[in-house]
Amino acid sequence: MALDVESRAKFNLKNASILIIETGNMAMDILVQVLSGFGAKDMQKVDKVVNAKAILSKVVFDLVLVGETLGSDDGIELVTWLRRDAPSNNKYVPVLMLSSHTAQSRVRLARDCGTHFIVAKPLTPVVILERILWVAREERPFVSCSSYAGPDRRFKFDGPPEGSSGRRADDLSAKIGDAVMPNMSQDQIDALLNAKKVNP
Amino acid sequence: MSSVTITFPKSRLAKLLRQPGGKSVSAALADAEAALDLLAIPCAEALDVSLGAIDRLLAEFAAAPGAPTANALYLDVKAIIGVATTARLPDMDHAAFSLCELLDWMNNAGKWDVGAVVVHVQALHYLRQPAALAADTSVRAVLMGLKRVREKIIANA
Repeated sequence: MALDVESRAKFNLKNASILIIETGNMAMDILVQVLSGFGAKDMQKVDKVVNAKAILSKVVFDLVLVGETLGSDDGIELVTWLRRDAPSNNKYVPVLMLSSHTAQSRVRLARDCGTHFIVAKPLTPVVILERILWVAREERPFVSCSSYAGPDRRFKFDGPPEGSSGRRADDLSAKIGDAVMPNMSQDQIDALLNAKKVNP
Repeated sequence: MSSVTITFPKSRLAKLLRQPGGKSVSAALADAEAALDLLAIPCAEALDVSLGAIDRLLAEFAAAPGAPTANALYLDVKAIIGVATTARLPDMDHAAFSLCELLDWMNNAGKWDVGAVVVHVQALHYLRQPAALAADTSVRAVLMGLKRVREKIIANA
């Protein structure tokens, strides 16, 4: 996911509608400054869950940044509501959760609330931009079941569970079959790896 | 049997990011860093206010160690993480994180050690001083000391 900080590749955040839910003037200002630096213009700021729910019910956003704790309010509860009970206009919106320290008792809740990423503070522009670009590029499918609603968190496919043959038509067997042709010789492998000059 | 629904929503954000115009990654990062520089002094001032509040909460915690006072202190210490780095005092963030870890552990274990918390708050004050920025060796010693304090408290539980 590492971002090339020297990259001249362009992105345009100007028309993206962004909701920032954070408490503390400085924490909010830090986010606004970073996003403004990225070229964002359309940012709405709220510091209470009740206000966030109201605005999320009316306005469609392209990106939401939310603090894990919001004073006496709870960012985790807000994201859980967003994924399960919010009107459909923002149900699948990319969400980045920002946390300075997650208490042990809340780690599991934070993991399961349905954010795309939990970003640890102190925030750096590189990390925030990296996450925004990744979330946009990957377009994760959304999973919804009794215990979880949010972006698919599976990043690696290792085939069907051990001991089962899988349930999908395209599931590959975990067992590796016998070779169907002779192995390549060392010369053939070398020929594949050695760079060759070619005529222009 | 529980049912699982998988949907493939189209991301509007992806489409918007690809619109013509915008900024290069390098320019955007430089602009964001420059914008953060403008917050260095306000953040340092906000830290001083927060340290005052933390001192008051520490006095309450020392007088009555327990979950209510520890939680209040935890939330205030947690709030300075990130602000300190923007104020160009990243070591304060490390100390604040260490204190959050300690308070969270104490809260879960139901055991309170006022001395360990006092040492952390004193470290926050020390690391707030500009002189601490120059004295790299002493800063590292302070942060190592906090780590040892935390480990000792947890090991002796």
